[in-house]
Amino acid sequence: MLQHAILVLLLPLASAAIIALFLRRAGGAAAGLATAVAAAIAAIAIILAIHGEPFSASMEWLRLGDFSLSLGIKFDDLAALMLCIVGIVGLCVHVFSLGYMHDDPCRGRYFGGLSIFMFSMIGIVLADNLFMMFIFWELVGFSSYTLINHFHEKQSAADAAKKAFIVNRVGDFGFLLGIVACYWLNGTVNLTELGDKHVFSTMIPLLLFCGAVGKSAQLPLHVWLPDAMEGPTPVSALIHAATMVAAGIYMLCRINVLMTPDALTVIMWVGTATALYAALCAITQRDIKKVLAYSTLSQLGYMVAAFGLGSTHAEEAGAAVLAAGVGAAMFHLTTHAFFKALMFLGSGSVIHGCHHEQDIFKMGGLKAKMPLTFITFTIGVLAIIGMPFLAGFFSKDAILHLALENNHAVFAVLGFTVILTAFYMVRLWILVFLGTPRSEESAHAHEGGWSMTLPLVLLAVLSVLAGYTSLYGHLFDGVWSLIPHEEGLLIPLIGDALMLVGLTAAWVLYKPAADDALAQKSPGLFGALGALKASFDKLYDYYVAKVQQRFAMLLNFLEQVILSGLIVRGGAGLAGLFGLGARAAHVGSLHAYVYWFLAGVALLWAYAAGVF
Amino acid sequence: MNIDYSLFFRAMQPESLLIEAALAIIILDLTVMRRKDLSARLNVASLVGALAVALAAVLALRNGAMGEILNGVLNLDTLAVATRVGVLGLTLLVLGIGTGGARIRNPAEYVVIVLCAAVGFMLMASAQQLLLVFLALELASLSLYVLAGFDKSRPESAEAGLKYFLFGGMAAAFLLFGFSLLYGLTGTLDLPGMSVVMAATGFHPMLAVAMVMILVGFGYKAAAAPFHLWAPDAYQGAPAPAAAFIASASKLAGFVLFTRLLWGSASQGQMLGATPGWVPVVWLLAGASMLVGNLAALAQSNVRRLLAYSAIAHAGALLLGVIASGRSGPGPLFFYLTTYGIATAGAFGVFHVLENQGGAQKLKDLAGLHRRSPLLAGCLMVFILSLAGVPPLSGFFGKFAVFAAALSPAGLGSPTGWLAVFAIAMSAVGLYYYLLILKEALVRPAAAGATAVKVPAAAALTLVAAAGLTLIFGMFPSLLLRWF
Repeated sequence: MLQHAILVLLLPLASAAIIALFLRRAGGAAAGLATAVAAAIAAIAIILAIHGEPFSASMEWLRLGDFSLSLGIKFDDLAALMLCIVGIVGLCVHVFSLGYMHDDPCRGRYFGGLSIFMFSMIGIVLADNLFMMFIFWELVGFSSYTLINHFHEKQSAADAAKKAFIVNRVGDFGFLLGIVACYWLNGTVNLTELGDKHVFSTMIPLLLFCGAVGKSAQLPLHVWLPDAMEGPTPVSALIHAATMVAAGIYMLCRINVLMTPDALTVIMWVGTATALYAALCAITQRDIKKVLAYSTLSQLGYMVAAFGLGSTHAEEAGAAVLAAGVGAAMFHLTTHAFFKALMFLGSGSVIHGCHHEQDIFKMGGLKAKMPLTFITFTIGVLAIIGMPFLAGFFSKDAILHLALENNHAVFAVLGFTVILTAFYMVRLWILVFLGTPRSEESAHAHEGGWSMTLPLVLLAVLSVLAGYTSLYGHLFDGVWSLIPHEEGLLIPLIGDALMLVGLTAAWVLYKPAADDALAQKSPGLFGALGALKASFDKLYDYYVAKVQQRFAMLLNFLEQVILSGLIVRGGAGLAGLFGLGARAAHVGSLHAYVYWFLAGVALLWAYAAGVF
Repeated sequence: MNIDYSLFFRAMQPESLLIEAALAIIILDLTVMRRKDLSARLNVASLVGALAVALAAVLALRNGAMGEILNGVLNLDTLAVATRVGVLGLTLLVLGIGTGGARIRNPAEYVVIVLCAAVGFMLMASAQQLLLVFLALELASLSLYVLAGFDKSRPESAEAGLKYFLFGGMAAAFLLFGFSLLYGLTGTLDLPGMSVVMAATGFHPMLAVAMVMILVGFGYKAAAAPFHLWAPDAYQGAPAPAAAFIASASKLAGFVLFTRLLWGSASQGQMLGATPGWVPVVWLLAGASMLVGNLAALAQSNVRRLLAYSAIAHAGALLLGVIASGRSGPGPLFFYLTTYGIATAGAFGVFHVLENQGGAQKLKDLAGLHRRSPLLAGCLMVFILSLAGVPPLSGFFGKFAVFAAALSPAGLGSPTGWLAVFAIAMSAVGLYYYLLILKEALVRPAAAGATAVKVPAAAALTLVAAAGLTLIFGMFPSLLLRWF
């Protein structure tokens, strides 16, 4: 099994290397190779999951005195589940990309980027220690950067890529500090060893959580994710919806043993706030991908909140309830990965069909033009808003159940978010698919080829079925057994009632809409929501422009004068002079050399004798 | 005194094998290959030599650490085994890059002398008695003098050989003088016995005189300032494979011998290193080498001379490693030596290929290498960046391990720590001239009329292997470090 795990890790690396070295100009071959590798990854992931036995192995990578770093694999049900998600969604996205990116001149670079992403993501999933996880964490950030930047000749794409990378670096700095602190206090960063014995400290999990805040785009580092939609749509589906952004939640579940009640409370509130904030922002968006991006943010907030909700109980009952957070978070991560990837790919299909029109107010009436996309997208929408018997219903109920048990304030916020979720998703759905075409592009929309519809169908099936944990047989029991189960019908009833409120509101407001009905009927509310959305960017821009930039100017001045002027240039001049001198001393005559030699000997003797 | 000769012969298997191979090469060259052309003779001789070297490495590894042989004349500890294998590997590298150039007039003799030098290096790695130390050193040195002057078609080569020889003669005289003083003071030639006597008698002023003479001798071997003056001329004039050999395997064996002389092997406790006064002298040598090497390299326009000054700078860092290995063991020093040897021999290999196709002495002869031969340019980039100490290449971890070992005992509380800081600062200076080479090779367009470079298959294979090792040891330093 270890060989399988190593294979699944190294296959995409090999694919990326081959594409980078030989297939940069052969887009078709690169696409074929990357897709074949993605299929192999999905197959091996499922084989590994079916075998199911946890194992771990590691090799020493670097040793310096007592300090050692190792590379290793820790495979258990949690890793198996994540690996399967990455494998299946990855395969769907690769296949979808075959059609979606067919006419792109830089297909080689695109598929190479996807391969390097798969490699990095699988590295995070399999890593058995925090250092290794950090290495792949950064690699994931790098591949995300290259893929957002795929249309690099577009200024907005280049800016978005830079923004994503820099914002993530802020979080990663905290992550790195957390790893160092963890090593400092515990003497190890190996996940298994940490599970056996570790020092209780609130600082470590909170610092590590900073990494998750960056990667999973939680408040206040969420600003990069909406902009990341500049990347090709399949990339948004794979990286910025289903897998990479979920890496933060996965990492939290990996380090759950380190958590303390205080840390979990913080995590819970960050998640809850993100869920509400992003849902509010989603209401005003006009870009189909931006709506989905904010919905992703909101759902990630749900997962983080779910993880944190395991907490409040930990004070009383200990580790068993802490695990409930892991179960609920991973459950929602799984269902969300499928229905969000489905909707992103669906939006890709819509965008492709409408000749790269992304404004939902210029769409409409696509139900008839793109029936398959319509049906599958509808399933995705129903799943995310929590329609009974679809995947999202079960996982969201698990979270709401946890919230109701542990913290009523959080329950209220998350419940309100359910209304908002139903509202903005149905709004999107109505505007895109119902009514009549509102632009030339949408009037001539058409369905994509098989490579674009097949992944949609597969993901739609998964979005229906993924919530029934009994369907998995005994696979992933280690995770599913942690999901909290409620008694009675209270939670489903509340959840559905809230969802229906949002759904009806959207239906009433947007059924006849040709322009943004909310903006017309309640401009004040609409404006406030827009300002809320912009507030973080404005705040950061202010900070960068007014505080950081001025400080940097000051440093730059000092640097120019003292460092660059005096020390570097002066030092370089001195060094250059000395170098010329040394060269001049080197006359090439053996006699001169012997004198130098003897002078050196005399000097050393004098020194050894203590003359100076 | 009863001596276990069977053990001795088994311990000497690798050395004997190389000598036998050397004889076989001469016989082969005088009989079968007599009427063949020069390049065929070189290839056959190199092939036989390479096979013998590879086999010798296998034997050395299989024998493993056998402990003391011949009543302690030789000590085959882990360090000795590692050094033997390292020397053989570097010899293989030198033989590999030497093929394909038909300019050498006596190819069989060339390979034979390389093998002789390798035998000298291997003995240096394990010798523990001053007489054998000197003999091994001279066997290696005399072979290297001949190698430096081997290219009889170029006057520079003769000049290099002669300067190297005359300078070396003087240094050898100092070394021998120092050895004889040590013998006079202690009455024994065995290094372990000597430390016993010295511990009993205490410090004698004459010891300081002897120490300085020995340090001068080794300073010369290591090309440490102010005894470095032969190096630029020798590196510039000698045939590139010979220069590679002088810079790599010779350094490895010399520094290991020096460390053994000063610190003994792990089992025997401290030796000469315990005498007061020598560590400050080594500080001085190390500091001066790093200063002179790095700064003088800035002003060079000839790549070979530039590498020579870089070698002087590295010698300074290595001396720091020698001081540090008293406490931390020879692991970091050995790692540095091996990886430095591979990178510098590889760089000379690249220059050798270029020289065979129209000369590459000046920096600007490298212009446009990335178009003329992407393979050479890529390998050169790996080697030069490793020399500069850029992660993840092995040169970085060599520097890191040595500096960490120098800083770990007392931090900045001792001059060794400050010297490490100085070394780090000087590495920054070094980056400048290393990047000058890469700028020529990778950025500048080729001169008009420059043609593509044809790389002989054996040389290409060797260079790729060396670059691969540089990368692998950089990414998995534990492969080497765990020996110690």
